[in-house]
Amino acid sequence: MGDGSGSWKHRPASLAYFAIFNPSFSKSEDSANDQICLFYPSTVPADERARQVGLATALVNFTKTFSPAPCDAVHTRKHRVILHEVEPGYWMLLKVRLGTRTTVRAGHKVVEHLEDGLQDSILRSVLLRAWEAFKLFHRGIDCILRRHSMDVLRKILEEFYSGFLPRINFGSLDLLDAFDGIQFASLSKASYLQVLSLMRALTATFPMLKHPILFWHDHLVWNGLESFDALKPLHSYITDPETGRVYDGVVNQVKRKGEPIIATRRVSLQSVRQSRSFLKSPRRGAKFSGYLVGPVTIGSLDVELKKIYLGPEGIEHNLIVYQVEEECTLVVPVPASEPPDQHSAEFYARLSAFLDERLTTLAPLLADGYASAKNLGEFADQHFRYLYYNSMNLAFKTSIGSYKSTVLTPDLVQCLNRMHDEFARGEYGTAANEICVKTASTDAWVVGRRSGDRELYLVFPKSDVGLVDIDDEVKKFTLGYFSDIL
Amino acid sequence: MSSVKPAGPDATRFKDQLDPAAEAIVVADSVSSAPVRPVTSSLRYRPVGDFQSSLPELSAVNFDPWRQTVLLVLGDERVEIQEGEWSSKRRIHVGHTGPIRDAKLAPGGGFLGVLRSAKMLEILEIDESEHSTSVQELVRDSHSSSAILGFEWTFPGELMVVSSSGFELYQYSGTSKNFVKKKSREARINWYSYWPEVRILVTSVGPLALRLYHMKLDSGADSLMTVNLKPKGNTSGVQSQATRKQITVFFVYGRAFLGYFDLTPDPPLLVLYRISRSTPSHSVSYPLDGRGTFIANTVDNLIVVTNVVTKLFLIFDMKNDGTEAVVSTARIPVQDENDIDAVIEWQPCFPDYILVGSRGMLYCIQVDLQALAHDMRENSSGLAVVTFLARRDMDDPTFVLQIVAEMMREGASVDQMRKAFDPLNSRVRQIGPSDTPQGMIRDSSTDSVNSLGSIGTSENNLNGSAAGSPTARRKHQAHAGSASTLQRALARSHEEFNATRRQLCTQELLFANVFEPLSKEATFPSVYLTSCLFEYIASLSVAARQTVQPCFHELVCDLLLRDNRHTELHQLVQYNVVEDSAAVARRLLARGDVYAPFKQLGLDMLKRLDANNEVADVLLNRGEFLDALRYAVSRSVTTVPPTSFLEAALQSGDRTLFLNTYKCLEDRGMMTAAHADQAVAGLPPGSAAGRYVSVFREMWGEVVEMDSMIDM
Repeated sequence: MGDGSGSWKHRPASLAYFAIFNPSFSKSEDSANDQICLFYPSTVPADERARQVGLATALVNFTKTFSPAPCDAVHTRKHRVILHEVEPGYWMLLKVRLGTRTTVRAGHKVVEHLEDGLQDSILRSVLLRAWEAFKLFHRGIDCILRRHSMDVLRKILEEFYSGFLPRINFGSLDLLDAFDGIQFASLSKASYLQVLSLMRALTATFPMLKHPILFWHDHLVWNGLESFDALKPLHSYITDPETGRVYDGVVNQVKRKGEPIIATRRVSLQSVRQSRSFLKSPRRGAKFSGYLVGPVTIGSLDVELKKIYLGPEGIEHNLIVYQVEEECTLVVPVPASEPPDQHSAEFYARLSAFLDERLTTLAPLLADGYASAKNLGEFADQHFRYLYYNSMNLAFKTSIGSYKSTVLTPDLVQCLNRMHDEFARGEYGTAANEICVKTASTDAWVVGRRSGDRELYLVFPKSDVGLVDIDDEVKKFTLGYFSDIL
Repeated sequence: MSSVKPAGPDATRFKDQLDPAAEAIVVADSVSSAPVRPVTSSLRYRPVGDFQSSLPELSAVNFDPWRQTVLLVLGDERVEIQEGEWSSKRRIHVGHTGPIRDAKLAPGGGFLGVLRSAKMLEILEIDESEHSTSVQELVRDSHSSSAILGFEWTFPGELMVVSSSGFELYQYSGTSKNFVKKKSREARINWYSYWPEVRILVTSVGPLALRLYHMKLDSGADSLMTVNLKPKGNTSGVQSQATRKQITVFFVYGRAFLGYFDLTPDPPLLVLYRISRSTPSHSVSYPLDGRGTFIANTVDNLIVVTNVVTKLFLIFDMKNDGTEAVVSTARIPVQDENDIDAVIEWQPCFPDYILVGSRGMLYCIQVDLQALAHDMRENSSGLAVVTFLARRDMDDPTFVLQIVAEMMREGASVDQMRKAFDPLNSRVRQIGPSDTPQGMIRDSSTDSVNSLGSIGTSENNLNGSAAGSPTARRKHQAHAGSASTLQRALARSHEEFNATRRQLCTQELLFANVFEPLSKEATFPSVYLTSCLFEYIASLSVAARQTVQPCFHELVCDLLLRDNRHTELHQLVQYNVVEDSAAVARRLLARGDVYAPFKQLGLDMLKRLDANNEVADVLLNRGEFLDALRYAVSRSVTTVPPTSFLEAALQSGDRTLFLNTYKCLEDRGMMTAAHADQAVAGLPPGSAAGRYVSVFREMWGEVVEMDSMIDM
């Protein structure tokens, strides 16, 4: 892409390799390829695979001699490498090609590698997310290997990651990828008590549904799992606009191909959020209601149970997903140890009737809550470019991209990425907790704050004021919208 | 107003049998062999009036429950007025001009009406002495068929005379010193009954036709509905006519009903019509038990129907589903056979009095709710009993709470528990000395200013908290006319009513009697208890719009922590279902090691509560010294000992950090600069703080000296 004169060309960052390996499987140099469980893309020659994995192993072993925490990131002129031991002995390797800018100077092409484009913390999040997604559906590498051969494991990994990895756009990674947060539904106490009552009635009527999760569009209303961490991979997978589609491992064939399961979550800070049609309900009955995972038609015995594995122990669950009017979605992982009622058509019919009645009543309440919260926060959303994340409950909120006026330029997004990377480098208390930056190119102030497990970023574009005034603005904002917690 | 003729010589027998001091007559029965329930104590008849001393010469008794006045007709020339809790007795000589058919005292006690015959009504002015002066004689002898059926004092200085050809309304004129006819209505009236509490006049205008009027101040009378009674069974002979004894007016749950004892079907029915201005709406028919003569009272919004022949009673609650009696065919609790004999003479007085002229006694009916609830529990669900009791007027709701706890022990569904909590939370009672058993509570669900029921309610409420005192009742009656319009009266009464409301089953009671004891029972399922607690909190917050007491939040917190339901508690705190309190915050912080987000939640809660000292302490204990210092500075916390910060800074080994901490505390007055070389503010010289001063001097003495020089 050029600036009109064709003097420069930009190529975004891209995936170079992705590998999973276990060095203990290789006893000699000749059998180096034995340690590789997965190497993506598969078109890479065997020698090159062995070389890359061998290099990573050597780096880990070498750095182990200096520090108990081995090397987990390598920066080269052209690449970024992230390493992570996902299971004892099993390593994941992510190698990303840096983006380049090619300029023509005095008739010569000059290729510049954009080092600032990729931050370790964000790449690490992407790597972990890829691992969590695999664990969600396959529990873990070692447990597969204990039951099956290495060939079967390789086939499973290849099948999963060849679908998963191409969806990641390494050229536009930002804090959305880093946090992978959850948007919580905005509800008053009274409304939440009704939600609570519904959840209680659900578990009382269907005792096997112990851990229901309720969404209103992609907003979390109720998490019945034991922790938010346990919810994260499931939430991430089914609200992701790329992965959470029909025909995609999770859902059956009820909805038309290509329709999102729950809603489209934003994938990039640089995109303008599509105007939400949450509150525009054309007419009842026009929207889809039914099982997304469960029987194809109610009353039929054609039940396709989807297995998922949750929690640190990877406990096997059967997944049921039911949606009402494309607004409310109930996701219920049922422990596989529960009696097999889930196979009965009568069970699904009863559950469907229950949910249709209750969730249809609840939906307007949730819509009202969203509308009032939107009205209350409209001023802040329009006038402040902020991003908030709480790692304790994965709560995520941002005004960036909500309106055309709050869209950020790529350099500001990268500035935020760098700030987050800085915060992520050290333990709380030992690293920086507040960073203020004035960008040279856009003349904007970017402020990042870390308070315990929370991060807040504010961007003041084209500001000609000083640091003291910006500090006042930040104070004003936090007092007005985050005074309870920051 | 009700009147009865005494039973003559047998009446004296009553004296020996009744102890006026007795709280109630509660005894065994030996009369009927009918298959009825065993003796129940759910009803009690409390003696409230005793006029036995007048029995030898008594010829008629009138009781005005509204004014709490008993008027005894003694022979043909004297009346005795008993009022003021029957402590005051006045005997009035009315002169000997013929037999006294009826006598009634006007509100305020200034006038006495004496019906001498069907043609003549004499009005006397009475004073504090026992003498009376004739003011006026109203004579109806223009037609031989014309007869005065009776008369009623409607408002202070206002009189209604009902005759067979209609009724006339009179008002006292101060100038002419007599009663002047203001209005009249022509109608052929067979008989009538007047219900002063709701000011409704029921007139019989045909064998089965009744026309109702609502009396208003200043001689006003609004026509209400005309009811054509339609007996269910065969109507032949006498039964084809409705008698006065078959008609009654109820005022329950803030609404007025016309009651008709339909004796034609088997079993007989009590048919209730909702009284309205236009067409009657047929409300409900209650089946009665066996044949006989029925009388009805209302007690605490319950309809008590007594069959004076079979001596059995039934209790109906209009708010119950269906038409089944709450208490069916129970025997009247009377003392002995003599009392049983007297039941046939029982005269109901609106709303909850029974007059027994032959015995010279007046009883007030009372419902023993505890016994009633016990009986109900045999056949009804706990929910039915609780909702029934929640509608009652109770001083001590403890036994209701026992039933609630019992329901929970029996594992009633959480939905049922919610249905039980809702009425308990919304139920309120009037504060004040009122101990009248009559329903003084306005049920919110029947609260309609346009309904006639509201008329009665409004007047009740105008009594305010003094409604229980007969004297106060009379005083109010005397001033009731001051309300210029109905709407104004309603509005005022509504305000007064609301001002004197309080919750019957308070949160504290429920907590102490239900939730706390159950939470301490090791075997009681805590998941179920938590669900019930949520429903209770929802009921309080949503249905009753009350602030939930902190003890419930703490209990929710304890139960969820006990079951390791951390995420659930996390979300409840996040959505403010579990509200902020220091106690909850401490519980969360204590569990922070097990569920890390609680550390954040607990600290946030303390911040919101402005528990600044605790916040600073928590941060310091966590080793987050800088955050603690920032927080203390931003909130101007001066109560945390500066030594805590100084020690933490010193322990960090960072000299600059120590300097900055010291100067920061000093700048904000947390250390007194003037005594910096000796002590820290609030701490005596030579204390532990002095150590940090010395350390500071040692570390940064030169810098301090340079600062001083620059300042110079």
